[in-house]
Amino acid sequence: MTRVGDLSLSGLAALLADGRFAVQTGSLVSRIQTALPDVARSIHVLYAHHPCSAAPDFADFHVRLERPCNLRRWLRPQAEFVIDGERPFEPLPRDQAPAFLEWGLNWSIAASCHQWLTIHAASLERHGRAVILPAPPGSGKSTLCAALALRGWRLLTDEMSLIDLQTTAAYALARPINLKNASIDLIRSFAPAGVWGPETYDTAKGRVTHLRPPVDSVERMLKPAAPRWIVFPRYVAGSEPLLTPRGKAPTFIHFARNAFNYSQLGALGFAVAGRLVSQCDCYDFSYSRLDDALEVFDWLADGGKMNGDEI
Amino acid sequence: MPDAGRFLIHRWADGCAVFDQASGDTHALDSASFAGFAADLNGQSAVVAIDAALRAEWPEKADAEIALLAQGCWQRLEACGLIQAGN
Repeated sequence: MTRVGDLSLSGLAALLADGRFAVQTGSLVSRIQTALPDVARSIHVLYAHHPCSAAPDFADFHVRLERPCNLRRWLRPQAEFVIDGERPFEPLPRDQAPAFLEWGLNWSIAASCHQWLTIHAASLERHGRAVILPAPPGSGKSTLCAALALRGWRLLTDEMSLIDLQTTAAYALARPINLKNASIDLIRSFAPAGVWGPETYDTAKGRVTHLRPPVDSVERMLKPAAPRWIVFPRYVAGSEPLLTPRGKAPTFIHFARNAFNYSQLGALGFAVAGRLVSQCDCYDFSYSRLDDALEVFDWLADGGKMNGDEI
Repeated sequence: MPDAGRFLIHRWADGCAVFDQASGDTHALDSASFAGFAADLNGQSAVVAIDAALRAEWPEKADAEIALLAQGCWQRLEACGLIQAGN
């Protein structure tokens, strides 16, 4: 099996330019075409552990990152994301192209992968059981996800949890973790050996970059996990860690409102979301220090359970 | 009386969710509202069921307050199309 890191950068760039490069993330294969050198460098770094192939017979997505064929090719240059010949987004500044690839792939999964219930949430696995971390932007979800992935939890996904419609098992993508602003510096300090993609500035989210997933997360990315906990994290500066049980009914309603394809799935989405909530212990969790958060999640993984009391 | 097969239901200790297969809508119901909805599905009086559920949940509340809460439950069920006016 060839991995992206087995290719030289020039070899990868050539495959990308010819549109013959495909990378596997979880069970999904994305065929990527681009002549943009910074995108090639980003893929070479962030997907180094991922399996890849040249001109596969099948790919779930066919995407291109390219410069527009107008004045914006040169004047305040931009990049465009193209999927299956369509341009679902407005162009972005040229220097955001590597991040644009990641965001575009996120959208592609959310828009079309209806073989799962796709939830806007991170998910990680420990001892065969998964924790799902739903949270709105700015709640510290990705920061917490990165910390857990770097400290013994297997990353399934940092952005889109994939729930099997029959078994409610959580499936992995093991893609790079998107971090922004202060969380970048926090995780750099937390894990100095982390491998990072390029930083992009002045995006709609501020300063953003991506963290390469741990090699174990990629090597085991085809192995699903049984969801066991749903934890809504919230970063509160200066706070002590606080884990409180959360009602299943409001948790379900959150999924009904925030799952990308709940409406498309109709009754099936209702059934799956309900089973998922029923089988999990649901919590709210506020924290300020990552070490505190890790301790709480380790406690959960070791069998900790609350019945209406706070810790 | 609505067709019970039209609705899918998840129930938990702290509430329930109802999926209306006719409209594709999902509704969250508190205990009293669900009691009224379920009674109506079974051909029983929703008003009586809502009242009984509220009194069980709030034994200390006065009749007038219970009536007000019951009216709220009824209006929400009606607005969601989960109950027919006059039932």
